Amino acid sequence: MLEVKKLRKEYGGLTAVNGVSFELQPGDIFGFIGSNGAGKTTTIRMISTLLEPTSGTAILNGHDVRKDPMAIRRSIGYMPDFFGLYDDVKVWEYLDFFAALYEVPPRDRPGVIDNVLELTDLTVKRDAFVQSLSRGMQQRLCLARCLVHDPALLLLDEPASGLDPRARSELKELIVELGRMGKIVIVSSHILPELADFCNTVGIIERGEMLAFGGVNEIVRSMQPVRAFKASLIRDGEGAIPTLTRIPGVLKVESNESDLRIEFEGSKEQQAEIAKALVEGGFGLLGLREEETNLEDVFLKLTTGAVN
Amino acid sequence: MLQNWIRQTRRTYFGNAAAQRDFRVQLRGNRSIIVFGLYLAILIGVAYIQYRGVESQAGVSLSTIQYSLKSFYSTIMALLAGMVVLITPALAATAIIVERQRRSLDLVFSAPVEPRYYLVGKLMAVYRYIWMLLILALPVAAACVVLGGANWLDVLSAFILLSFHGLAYAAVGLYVSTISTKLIGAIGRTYITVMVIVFVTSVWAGAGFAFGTQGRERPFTVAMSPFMVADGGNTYTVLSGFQVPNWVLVGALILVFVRMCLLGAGSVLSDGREIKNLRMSWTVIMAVIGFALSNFGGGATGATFFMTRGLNPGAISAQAVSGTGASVAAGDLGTGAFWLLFPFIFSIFGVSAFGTDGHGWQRPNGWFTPKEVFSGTPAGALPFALLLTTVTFVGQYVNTSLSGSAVNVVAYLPYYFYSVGFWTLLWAATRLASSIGGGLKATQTTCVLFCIILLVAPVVFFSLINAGIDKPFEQPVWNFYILRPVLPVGTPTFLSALVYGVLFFFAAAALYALSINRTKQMTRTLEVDVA
Repeated sequence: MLEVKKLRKEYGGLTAVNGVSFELQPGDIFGFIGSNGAGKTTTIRMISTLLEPTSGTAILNGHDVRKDPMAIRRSIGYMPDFFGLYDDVKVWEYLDFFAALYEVPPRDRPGVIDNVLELTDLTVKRDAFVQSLSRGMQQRLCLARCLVHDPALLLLDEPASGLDPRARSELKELIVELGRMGKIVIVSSHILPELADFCNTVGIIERGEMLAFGGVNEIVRSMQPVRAFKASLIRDGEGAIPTLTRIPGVLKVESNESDLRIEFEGSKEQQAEIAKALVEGGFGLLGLREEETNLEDVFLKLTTGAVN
Repeated sequence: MLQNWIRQTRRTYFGNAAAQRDFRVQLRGNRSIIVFGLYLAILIGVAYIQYRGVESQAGVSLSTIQYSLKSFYSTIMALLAGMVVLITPALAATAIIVERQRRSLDLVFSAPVEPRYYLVGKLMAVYRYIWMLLILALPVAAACVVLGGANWLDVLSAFILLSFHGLAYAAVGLYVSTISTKLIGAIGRTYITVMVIVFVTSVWAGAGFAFGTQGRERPFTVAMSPFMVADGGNTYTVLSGFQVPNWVLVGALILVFVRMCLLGAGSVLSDGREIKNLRMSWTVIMAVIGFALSNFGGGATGATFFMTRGLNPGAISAQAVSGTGASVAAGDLGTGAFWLLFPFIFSIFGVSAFGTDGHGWQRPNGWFTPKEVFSGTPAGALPFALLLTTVTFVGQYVNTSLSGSAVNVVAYLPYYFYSVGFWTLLWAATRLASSIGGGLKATQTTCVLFCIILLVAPVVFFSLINAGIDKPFEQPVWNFYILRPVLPVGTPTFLSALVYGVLFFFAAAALYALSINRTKQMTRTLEVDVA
């Protein structure tokens, strides 16, 4: 389990991360959302022990980042938003080097390397030089590097940046698979629809503060206390407003020529009354659908785009 | 705890992943074959030309032939030294900077790896390469033995010494590589530093040969130059009645030097977490050096000569050369301590400066906070300078007193006062330069200029105006030079040290006073800038 407790990082007068707290369980895939400079990378670097927090801490399976950074490092795999690959080594040598750094016993290393290459679908490139790999393969190699010591927590900072759609899709599948394997995965990204697809938990950060944290649906629902419907009519919608506002549960109706936007808070029966009223009133109902709020809308609603 | 230490040490020195990776890359492809081929070609070519010179000396005396063969051996070793001096910095200076540019350091340090492990690995890869170069030269060195220019012990000690020198240059390269931001800058700075070290150690070695005892008993300084390993390698120093090979003494000194370079590099790589360790080590080392280089128990060897007077050539006397003196002049001691501390001039600006440099920033967190002495922040700079000065002077005093020599405290203390004043003045100058707000680099450049004006320019100016005069360094105008009390010329008095000490403190106070308001303003600007 990962517990992040009031994590704070100051650079002189600048507070890059301000009291960020959250908790993740094994198998959780956590999407960390924020604009550039919001504090995502700083938070990830503090959890990965590369930066010392000014205050607060993170505890992974009982190990504190401040008190026992080496134990934390043994339990995490960190993939930054750059590759940092050695060009002049072969794929297996690269993984062997990191396996040695992660104290994998020499006799176990060949097996471990084969396993992670298989998982990341790079087995055929075992003896290729790193520089000869495509960008997508290099990204997968970075992920393979993070896995050589079988970490409990994976910190992936913008893992999909610069990848083509196929490579993104493959990476997404891989991350889902890692979640299934019981690892905690933290993924920071700007590509919100993708995160919504495979993350079961998201956190939105701005100016170093966590604005929202929870399940994707939970956050979306919390941002949409009032449901809204859009009705398309043949005739001008203005005339339908008095009819609709009489229906219990309808809070507000706005007209835009033949389109109506109806804010509603009521039961299913009351919801059915809306369609009925529009049909029976002879307004020529062409369609009625509920407005969907997605993660991107929530993000835009919650954040202002300001950075520290 | 001990078990953990043993495990970590074993992991660091045996099967170090960084060493293996670097070594693998060094030997990959045609590059290594070309380098080794060229190296061997040069070596064999020079050896052949030199040998033909010896061979052509038909009809000359046996002693001339012996001299020529000895010279042949010295040339080969000097050539090897040249190779080590040229190749080692190039290998080491790129080691960290390339990783930083590739941004692979974050990946390495997100693994359970201490900077020490990684730096030792890098160093081992370079050291292993040096030994490959030396072993490749073994057939040529063997020719010297076969022809009679040297024996195997000479060759072995020379090789060991050369490898130690290579290790020292590699450590310098690693340190410079760690603090640099550009590859070319790192290589350039490493070569300059190595050249300065080679020059200084060669002067020391030459002095050791010129003034020391004869035969194989020599001051250990003779083994400090890579270009004199042929003559200095198989020499020894008598310490407490034991003949200690000079390569052992120099090797020990180099290992301490390497440790300090690695600690310095480690403190940079660990985001300052190793600074405490680094500063504590420096404190201990300066105390030990102050202690060891004071009198060294009054031993009668050339090493004692260097240790007691070698740092202050002006104080050379028959008594000192013979090493039989029971008392040591307080001025000589004080002057020696000052010059022992002088290399700290390369750090005082760095540790005292505050401001930003684009990557990080040093906050002006106070002017004198003793508890920050080992922290690496500007508030701990002056306490640290004072601590180093104090332990060096105390170390000297204690050993000199223990060895039965009487030190005149009244004459000794002004030199301490002078040294403290000197560092305080440089510290205050750095504070003022920092407060102007040009950034850390600009501050350091300003301070280097300040030092040139204060320490170098007067030497040029006074030398010019005294050109052609008999005993130019004893002219009264030199009394206006701030290093006059510790210069190895004429007869400085403790009074001049005292007067200059007072002047330093007044000047430092003035500079600091000028910096106070600017520092406050600077702090506010920094907060805004960073935000």
